[in-house]
Amino acid sequence: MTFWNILLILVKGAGYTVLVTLASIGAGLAVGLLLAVLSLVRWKTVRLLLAAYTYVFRSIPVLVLLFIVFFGLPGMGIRIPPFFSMVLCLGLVSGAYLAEIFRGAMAAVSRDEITAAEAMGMKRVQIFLYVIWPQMFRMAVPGMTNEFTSILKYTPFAYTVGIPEIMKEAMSLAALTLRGLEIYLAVGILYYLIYKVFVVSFETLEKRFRIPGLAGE
Amino acid sequence: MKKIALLVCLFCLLPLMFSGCSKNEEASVIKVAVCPTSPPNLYEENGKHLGMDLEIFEGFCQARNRRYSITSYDWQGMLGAVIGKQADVAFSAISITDKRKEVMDFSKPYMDNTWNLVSLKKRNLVIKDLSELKKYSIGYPRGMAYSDFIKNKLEPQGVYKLSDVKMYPTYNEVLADLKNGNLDLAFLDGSVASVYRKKMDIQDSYVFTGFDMFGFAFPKGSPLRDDFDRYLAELGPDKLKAIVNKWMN
Amino acid sequence: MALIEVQDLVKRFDGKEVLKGVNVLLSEGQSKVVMGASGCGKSTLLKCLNLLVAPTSGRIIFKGEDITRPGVDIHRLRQDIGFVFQHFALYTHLTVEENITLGLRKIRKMKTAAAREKAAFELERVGMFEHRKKYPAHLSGGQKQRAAIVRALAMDPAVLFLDEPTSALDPQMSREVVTVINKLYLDNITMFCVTHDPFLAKYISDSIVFMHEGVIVAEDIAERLFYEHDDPRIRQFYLSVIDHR
Repeated sequence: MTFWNILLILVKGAGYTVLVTLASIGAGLAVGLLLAVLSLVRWKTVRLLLAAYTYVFRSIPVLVLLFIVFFGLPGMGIRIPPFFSMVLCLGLVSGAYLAEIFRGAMAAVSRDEITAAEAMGMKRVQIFLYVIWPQMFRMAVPGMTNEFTSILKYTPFAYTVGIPEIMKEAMSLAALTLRGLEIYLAVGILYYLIYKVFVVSFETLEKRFRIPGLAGE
Repeated sequence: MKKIALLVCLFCLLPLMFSGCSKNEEASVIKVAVCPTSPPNLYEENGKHLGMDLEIFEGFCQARNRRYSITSYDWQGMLGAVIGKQADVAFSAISITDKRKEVMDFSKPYMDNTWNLVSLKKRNLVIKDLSELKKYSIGYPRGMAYSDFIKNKLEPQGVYKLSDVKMYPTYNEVLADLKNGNLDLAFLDGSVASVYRKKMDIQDSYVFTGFDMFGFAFPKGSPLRDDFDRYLAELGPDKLKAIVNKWMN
Repeated sequence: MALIEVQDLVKRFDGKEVLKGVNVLLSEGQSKVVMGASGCGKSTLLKCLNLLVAPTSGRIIFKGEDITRPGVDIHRLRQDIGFVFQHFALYTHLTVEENITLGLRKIRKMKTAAAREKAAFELERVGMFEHRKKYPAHLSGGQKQRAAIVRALAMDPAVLFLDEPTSALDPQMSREVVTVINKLYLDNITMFCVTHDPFLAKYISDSIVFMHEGVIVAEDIAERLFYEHDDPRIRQFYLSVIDHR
């Protein structure tokens, strides 16, 4: 078995790794945006809940959360399929981080511009959609890229709940061939490639929408 | 801007799309959890599950006319799947221990896993009495159950001291050192030994038996467990032994 | 006919009275400038008029309707008032053209093509057409302010509010902007401007209101206010701003 063969076998799992990463990014974005928007609400209960959420999901290890969701919840009669469990956990955790990134980006949007939009007669939703969101999204790209790569690095946990991603292929191959060093080196290369593709595509996206003079440029 | 928004929407929808994909299995299909890093009991080759445990289980399914679907987990995930009832049964050389019995039910043991001290064939090292053990160096990866065994059983008898053991990160290093002649004996269990025997010229110098039994793991209170035990009884010790031997050698 | 009528307007911030019963009248087609030292309350007055700041008491009649009453459609009111800021407040992420068409499309519900046409026409008037594809970061201060004026004007507001439109600019750029606003003045655009720049005030006003510590001290045309009033507060203010130039 050549190194090339090893890579080919592992690539089978790479599909799942990418899938889990993309879906978790989607879930994380949804959660993060929701939290960031909620953080605009000045209601005390909402603020308290948000603080609690951030505190809990930033402190809990992903693996522990995964065990609670996938292996713990069924005890209460709640059964969540493996893929969805994984995406839910990563989404909840990365959502907590992304919310912070979005909140920071939102705070960086010029107060003057928001006043200008108010003075123009825009409603709050319009101000958010046309003035805040396009700017904060762009400013959040570096932080988001960071968070997305952490998501990628959490995906090996998917194997724990039975999703056959890269690490699963690697471990079963290593158990059979006893060529751990080469196999895990190949795993490293694969992760690097996936990481590179992600980063490059985000950089392209960022460049495509980059605006002169906008913070975070 | 619209493009970004669209992209984000798509991303947000992704998880929903996939959540729809996991269908409910029919009730009659047995959900199996395995950890395919346990040859020869259970492993994967060219994407197919193989191994002694699976052969035994397939026999059960044939006899009872049941179907099964198999999912690979990592080790803790496999055990978790049984505890959390995500799976109806788990097997992959799972040792029956008192701790595990608290959270899952085990079948009757189907295999006595040996603990082997192996050496290079060309050294022709055979230990007839444990008192000879002192003369040799023993090595295994850190964190294995052998440490407890040596400390609680061998040390009090004055057979071997834990502090004399050479610890390694993984079996790869253990076997490499054995090959180089820096190590006399490697401590492996029977399953692992059977794998390495195919790759290297090694032999058993001493074999401990009778304290590591493999069983099929079921969720607590599983009726399937009782049926499986009945099947093992029907199969009989001889046929079972034949299957075990086929895979171990 | 009075477009805006302010009656006994009072604004208190944390117990401090910034506006102490202001009465002002702005007729349609009229251009009025409010002057006074910083902190005299002139900016607060302006922001009260489109409810960016909520007045404490008093009445503001806009187009015959008291807008200080509860239940007033604040968005509709503001859509009728163009606002130009000291620091331009152009949307950083949009080009000059997009800055102008955003309001037209989203508030006036114009089609993109029509909005662009309108923007092009208004940009032409202030000599900014060639810069329409540029982002704010690539414009000079004077260009930014001209773009901001067009943004406000393109909405066809009933009145244009200008809050210190030249204060953030150097003399050269300031003149550029004064020329543009002067043109609007000559076109009889209704304007209400707050400034301490006498040069601007002189060229864009029908009359000047002088404010001091939250009250209106005098109202007159530029020449008389600057040269003939002997109120020491006006004299002192005029000399101080003249020195600055």
